[in-house]
Amino acid sequence: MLQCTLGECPILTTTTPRVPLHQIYALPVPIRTFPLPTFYPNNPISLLHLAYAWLRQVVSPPAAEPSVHTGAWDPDTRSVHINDPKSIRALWEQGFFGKGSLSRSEPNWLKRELGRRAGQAGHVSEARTESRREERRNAKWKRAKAELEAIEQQRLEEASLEEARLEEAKLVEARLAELQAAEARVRATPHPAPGEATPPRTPPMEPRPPVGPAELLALPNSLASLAMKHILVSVERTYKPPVGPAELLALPNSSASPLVAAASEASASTTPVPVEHLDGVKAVPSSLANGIVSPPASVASANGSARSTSETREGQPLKRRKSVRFSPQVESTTFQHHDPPSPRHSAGGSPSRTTSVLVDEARDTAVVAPSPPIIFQGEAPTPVPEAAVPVGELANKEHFQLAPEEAFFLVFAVGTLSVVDPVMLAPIPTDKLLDLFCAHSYYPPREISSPSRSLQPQDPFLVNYAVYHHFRSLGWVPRHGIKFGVDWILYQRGPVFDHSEFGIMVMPSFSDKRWELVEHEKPKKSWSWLMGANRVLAHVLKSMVLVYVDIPPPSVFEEAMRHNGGIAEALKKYTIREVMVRRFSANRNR
Amino acid sequence: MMTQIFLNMASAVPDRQVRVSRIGGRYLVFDIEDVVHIRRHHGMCAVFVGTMPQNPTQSILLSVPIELYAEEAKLLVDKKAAYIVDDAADHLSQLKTMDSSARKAYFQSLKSQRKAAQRVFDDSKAKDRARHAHKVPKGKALPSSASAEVEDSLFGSGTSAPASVVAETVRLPAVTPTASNVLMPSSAMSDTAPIKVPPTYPLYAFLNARGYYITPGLRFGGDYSVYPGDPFRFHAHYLATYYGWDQKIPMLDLTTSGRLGTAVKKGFLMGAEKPTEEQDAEPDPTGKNVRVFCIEWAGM
Repeated sequence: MLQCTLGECPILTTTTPRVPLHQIYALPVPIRTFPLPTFYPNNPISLLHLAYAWLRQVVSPPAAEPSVHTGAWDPDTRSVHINDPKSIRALWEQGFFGKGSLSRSEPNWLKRELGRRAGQAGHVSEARTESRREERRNAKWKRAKAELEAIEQQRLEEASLEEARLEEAKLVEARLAELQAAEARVRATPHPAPGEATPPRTPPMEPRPPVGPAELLALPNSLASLAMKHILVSVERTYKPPVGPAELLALPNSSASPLVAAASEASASTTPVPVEHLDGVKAVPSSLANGIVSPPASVASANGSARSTSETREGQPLKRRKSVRFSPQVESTTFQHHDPPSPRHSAGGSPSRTTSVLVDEARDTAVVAPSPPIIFQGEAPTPVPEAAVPVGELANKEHFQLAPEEAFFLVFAVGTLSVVDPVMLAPIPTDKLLDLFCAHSYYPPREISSPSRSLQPQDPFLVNYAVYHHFRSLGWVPRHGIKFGVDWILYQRGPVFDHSEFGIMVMPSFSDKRWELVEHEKPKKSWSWLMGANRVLAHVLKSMVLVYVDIPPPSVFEEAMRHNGGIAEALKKYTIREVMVRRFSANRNR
Repeated sequence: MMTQIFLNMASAVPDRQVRVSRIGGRYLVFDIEDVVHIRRHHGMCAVFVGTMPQNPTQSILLSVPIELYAEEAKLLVDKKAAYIVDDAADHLSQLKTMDSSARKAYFQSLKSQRKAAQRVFDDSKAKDRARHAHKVPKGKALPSSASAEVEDSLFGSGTSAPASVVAETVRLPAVTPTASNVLMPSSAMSDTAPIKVPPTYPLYAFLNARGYYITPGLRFGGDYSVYPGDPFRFHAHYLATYYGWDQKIPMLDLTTSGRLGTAVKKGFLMGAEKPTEEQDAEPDPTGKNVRVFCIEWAGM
């Protein structure tokens, strides 16, 4: 295990100049070569150079490195574990093999942990991803908040407009009353003289259809509804109050129900808001019997609305029209062990929920003292108060995992790895290793020792390995693509340089005629699988490549394995075809 | 688990037998009343596949008939809410055995349809005229009626009034009947050939019995997309995939569907039917042996 103290930790010595990435990751496979310089016959000096280089390598050979790394096969995780830190770095930096068991890909758990304890985020990709997500979450929350505020603003504006209209309606009403009074006066004089002072322009008030806006406003129900609207708007949100006893009992915290009932009774007896409106209506002289005095129904409705408003103010949890809520804080998704299970997720029914969001937010930020690591609204991320944790010595709890295909490539094709048996600690020879991997490519793993069991050309390991070897030897960096729902993803140079461009699905193809005689498992891939996988890849901006592997029939495979030099010959019998798939929609791709 | 929404459909379903025509292996419903009925009371929206006679060169808005999936047709038949008719054979046999009175009745019905259409045209024309009547200035109103007479005399056809009467009686608008249910009022022989359903039928029946609306889910890489109500009002909540009871589910399927479901904000729902003891038992139209689970992607 790697022991590392804080003082000599690489993350904290930031003063050292950074080595450029292309130097760190210069080698495509973990082999170092020492080529002799080229000899030019027409240039005698090149001969000298050649001789010098050769002599130097003979006299002082290059420093020995662990060029053959050792890994232990782990049948439970179906991977090859590597614990030596030098080997880990070498395998990662020279060809991007394997992954850290506690990391996304590069084994940097120790770095992250040290950074976390020292209270600073290191330059690890996980931290960067996390901060990017945090940013995105912040941006989304801000956008939602801005939208909410715009709606609030609009509502306020509309409320003020509504008030103005109400005022106007009252004015119109008053004028109508005057007119009626004048008419009554005119009628009271029995026989006016022809030239006398009847108001010349006022037409006689007959029951006319109410056409103009003023008349319409003066109609009884519209006035009442206006008043009602006004009341509701003044509370700035319209909730449907639970009025009946059944609904009240059905409320989640029914212990509060007596309080609510009391409140509603009180409001029914007092009704503070609508009194003035009722008064206003009743102040109209009763001679205006033609439909301006509000009928009792409207009074009742006004009462009802008043009750609803007062209840809203009491603020028990109400049933909202929409259940979309914006938490005033953006919370991180990473939780520490000491975090409470759900930090301050109260039921959302605190009494002041009906007040505006800004107040809410201010109070929340002020009150909550023991805050979990939360980045709030562009605040600087506060260092986690975790200095009490002993920083001194920290064992690396991470190991390195090689997939069977990667391990076999390193053993068989490159020769820089030896896989040891976990129990016997003896290196496993290559052919045994192949048997082991093939047996473990089924679930549950097949028996290796049974005599009937021998290598079959359609073993999933062999098919996958053929694809892996194919792309490795063409210079690509294939890595397992299970998180994107495909078999492999292909990087052009490696994960630290670029995003992967392609997702690869391995499709075993039994195209040889001789397969018809042999029983084999039919490949079953449905259309819905293709659409789903393609869509997932399209979301992450990758293209899908179907790699068809033409599997040699067993007779050909056996022949190559037995007589022609083993697996190296047998692998040549596999042919690989690549088909790139892209979804085309006539509407979108114009 | 999914929430179970029980619409009290069973109590409110009016007794109606939907006529499903099997044509070329497809299940079509031609009657618009039937279409409304199965959408409202059986939670099936199916797909409109007919062109619109008014606008035949576009394919954005389609009209009757609707094409039912095999699952839908089978479920309707299992619930005894529909009967299947092999339309080609049915038409031939019924047309051959038609007597003169039936023929007369059919022509009569066609005529009444045309009359109804004429009435609709007239009504709309009258409405138009009434709407534009006040636009004509009052000073012109009288001379125009006078000039009409003058025009009549100018063209010299003194029989203008009778001609218009003739046009109204004879030239009724042509009507293309959209359904032949008038032609064949009796549902003579219902086709009892078994409906071939995909193996996902139990899951469909299960979800339908719980009031969900279901459309095909190929776009999302599943068998069905499941809506909590009419798709006009809701987005799909689930992405349903059917597996065999003992079928092994590939790990890649889980990641693909889970990831995709999260990306499009749907739950990834897996369902399977528990095999019953009886060998050739018909799948249950309520899907009571089906178990479903929902998987969500969590950020660790």
